[in-house]
Amino acid sequence: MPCRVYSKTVSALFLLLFMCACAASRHTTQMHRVKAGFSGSAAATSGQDNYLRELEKKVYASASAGKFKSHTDPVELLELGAAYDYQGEFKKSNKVLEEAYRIYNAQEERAIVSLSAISTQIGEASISEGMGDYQLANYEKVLLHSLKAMNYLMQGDPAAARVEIERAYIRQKLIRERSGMELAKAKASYDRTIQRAENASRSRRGGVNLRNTFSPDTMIAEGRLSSRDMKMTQNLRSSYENAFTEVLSSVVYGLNGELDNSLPPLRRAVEISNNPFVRRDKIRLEAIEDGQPRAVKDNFYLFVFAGYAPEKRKQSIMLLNPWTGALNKVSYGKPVLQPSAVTRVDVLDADGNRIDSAPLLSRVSALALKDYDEKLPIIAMKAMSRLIVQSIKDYKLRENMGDLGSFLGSVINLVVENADLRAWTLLPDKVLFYSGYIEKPRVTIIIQRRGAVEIFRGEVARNPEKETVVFVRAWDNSARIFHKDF
Amino acid sequence: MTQRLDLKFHRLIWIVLVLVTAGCAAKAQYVEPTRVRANPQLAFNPNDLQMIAGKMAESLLATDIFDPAEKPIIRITEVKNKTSEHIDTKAITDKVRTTLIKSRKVKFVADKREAGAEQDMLKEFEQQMDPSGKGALMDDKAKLRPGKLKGPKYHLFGEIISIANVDKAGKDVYYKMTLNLMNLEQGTLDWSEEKEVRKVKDRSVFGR
Repeated sequence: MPCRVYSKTVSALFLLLFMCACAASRHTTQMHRVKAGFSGSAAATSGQDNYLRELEKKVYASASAGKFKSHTDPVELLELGAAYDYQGEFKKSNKVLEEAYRIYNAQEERAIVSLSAISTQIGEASISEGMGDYQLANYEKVLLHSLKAMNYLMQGDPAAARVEIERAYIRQKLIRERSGMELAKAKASYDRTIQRAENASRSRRGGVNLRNTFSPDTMIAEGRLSSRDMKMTQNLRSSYENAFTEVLSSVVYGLNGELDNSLPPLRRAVEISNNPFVRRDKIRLEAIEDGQPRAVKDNFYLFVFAGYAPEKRKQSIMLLNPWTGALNKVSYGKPVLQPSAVTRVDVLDADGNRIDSAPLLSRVSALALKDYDEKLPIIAMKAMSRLIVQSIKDYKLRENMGDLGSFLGSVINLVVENADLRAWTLLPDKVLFYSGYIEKPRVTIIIQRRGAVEIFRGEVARNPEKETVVFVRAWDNSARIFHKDF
Repeated sequence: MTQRLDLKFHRLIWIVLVLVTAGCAAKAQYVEPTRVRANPQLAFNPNDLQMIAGKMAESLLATDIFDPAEKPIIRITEVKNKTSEHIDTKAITDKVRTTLIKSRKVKFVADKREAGAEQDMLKEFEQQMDPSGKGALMDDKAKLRPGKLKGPKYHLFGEIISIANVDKAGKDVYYKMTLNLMNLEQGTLDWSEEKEVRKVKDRSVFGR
């Protein structure tokens, strides 16, 4: 093929693929606009409507008819689902999140053995991060069902919430069973790519050892979490187990009259959270199970979502390729914390007396960091596979076009190589929890931010004969409160 | 000449493709409610409802628990959904109840969870007994008579569970529905039945 035609073809192909990966790298910027709409005061509603419309345009073919586009990236569905949830549109939120569930479930079933899933992996292993649809992180899959369960509770449907809890447990079980699969696939792909490169350049490598040159270990060392971030994850067993899902499960089973099923999730939650109310709930339920006469179950459950889950920022490693002499780049997305300003949540009775405060139950940010730490070897292997594929391409360009080919190869690599910055950023930074037995019909929730500044005061008018679940979504300057009696 | 033939041939191919595609568009049609699709969905679907709920009710009627002369009253509560799918268990409960009612061997009281049923009844009584409202306009003989409310003798309740397995060979989903009849006078379980449905889908080489 003539040089000019070859270079035009290669350039056009990579430009097209670059545009595909670009969408994945714009997610963080787009979500900043959405979050700006949330964090204003309660009176600033026009901005909030705009951000919701922006998200809806990406998801719906017809918003009024509730008809989804034929193809939507799951991350857009997740973000819109969370946005609806925080607006109190629980039914809409569940509809959107159910669509996200349908897509990720189909992705997973195809990933076990399928040609279409392999094509996405080929894109990520040869061109750029962020090719193809967003693949939910393990903690996001579990929290999707937890959020849906909370939505059903806020609609007064504990039976439907129970279905979502079952789905969360099935998902955790599947994640556990398949935990080594993704790493094994990435390693197999990496080995195949190295072999291809070695075959392509058997006698012409000039003594360069490809396995040493393209070893993932250097990138793993560069990409490690900081010691501060590592400290946040040290109490976590895995990224897909979290105390919020366990405690919510316990509440849901309890509301469905299944006290025997309520206890195991609390026992698991106690192992992974220092929240004192979880421990106290466990003791109370064990007392009820033992038939102790004065044992009383809690009738008031408060869950507070505060702040935002981590965003991803682009990290790039530049290196001079000893094999091709070209300047190459590998990029990947690394989570960056967005800590919440909320410091304290107090629960007061109708007379203004402080009953207690709601301490930390789960840190979703820690789950995101743990997920990144677990996935880093896979990210590194995929990045090295991409680099090897780029090197083979650069080598052929150099063979066809000499130094100009090397230069063109470098430029293409530097432009096309992008990081996948997609993540479910509207999840909260942390979940706070209080539970207790409250006999009064009115309860006040007060939320403070740094500097003991009160940002929210909300009243819950409830039936003390029933069990009450309260869900609060708090941002840095405001909050919204929802509740249901059962 | 050859080129013109080629062009005509290509045009013909395009026309045929368009017609075939248009002809392949999905069409809706009416079918019998009991018809079973050759390639059933793995999720719980109307066929499963027919299969399970109808057979459970028939199994209960085939026993000699109910005295037709007595026509005992049953309270039925919505079947509990312990699966990981959103199943309309009210539809299952309604199917069972309708089959039993049609047999004319039993009667039912409204389920406590049926929205507004009990409230409607109480409201109707209140209105008919109100001498200054509706009650004043009604024929005394047509009014509801207090002291006639009957309680149930039996309680029918149950649950549905599922187990799903996905592996390289395909997907395997198992449903089991259990229904129990409790004698409220004696506190005994007079009848219990379970029905199972298992669906298997082998993985295709291409597509889903």
